[in-house]
Amino acid sequence: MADTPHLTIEDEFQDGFRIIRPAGKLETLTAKAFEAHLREAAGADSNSLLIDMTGVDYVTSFGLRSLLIITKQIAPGGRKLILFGVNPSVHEVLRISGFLKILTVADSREAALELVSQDPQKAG
Amino acid sequence: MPEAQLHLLVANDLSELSRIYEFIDQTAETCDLPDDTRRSIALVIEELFSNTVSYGYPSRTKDEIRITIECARDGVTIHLLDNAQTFDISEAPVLDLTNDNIDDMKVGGLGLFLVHQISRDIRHERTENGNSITIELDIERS
Repeated sequence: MADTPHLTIEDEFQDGFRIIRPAGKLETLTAKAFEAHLREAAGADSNSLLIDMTGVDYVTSFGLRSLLIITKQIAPGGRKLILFGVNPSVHEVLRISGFLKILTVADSREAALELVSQDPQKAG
Repeated sequence: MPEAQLHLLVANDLSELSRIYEFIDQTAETCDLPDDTRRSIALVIEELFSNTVSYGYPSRTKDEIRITIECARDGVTIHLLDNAQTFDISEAPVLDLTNDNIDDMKVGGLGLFLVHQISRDIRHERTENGNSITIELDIERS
């Protein structure tokens, strides 16, 4: 678990898949810790990365950039970042920045798990 | 909605963001602003402040940045005054998210793009020692 003043990050496992749960602000001071956490998870798992965004109420360009860097890092293996639980204000930032076109946003946890189970490489 | 003008003086250091968040929360309370407007103000100020601190002081000189938020009936005006290297932000940057070289997409570019997307008006004036930036935002009432 990585913590900074404005963000906590926890992992949970469901159906054999890791779900990363950031809570707080994904911004200038916290984005690097979040990115490092995602990179570690991307190295430990072979499937797409699931991110439960329920606890994130604020995203800035630094947070978006971290999401973009990891998305591009895992793309060659056919893997994606799959977000769910995105609140309306964060969704709006993803929309106006064009990130809805490059990230996968699922309607629910179940839908996200369904998507990851269709990965070319499933979790061991 | 109460009309008010609030000021904050911060050092050109990213660790000041905590104080900036507190200041924005306090302003939102004083002006009775909706949550969406509070978040938009935070996003604009954070992006501009982070941009200035990260790129505006190549010689790492110490500076104080003055942030003013003015609430009026029809909108919010944000004003930032610094002594940083002159950088005109009034032109919206072009964003290419499909660029495979992420290092080409500077953080500043994405941040400024967001600021342009959510602001009603952006003005930049060069001052004797730096930049005077004025941003106008609509108040989003549901």
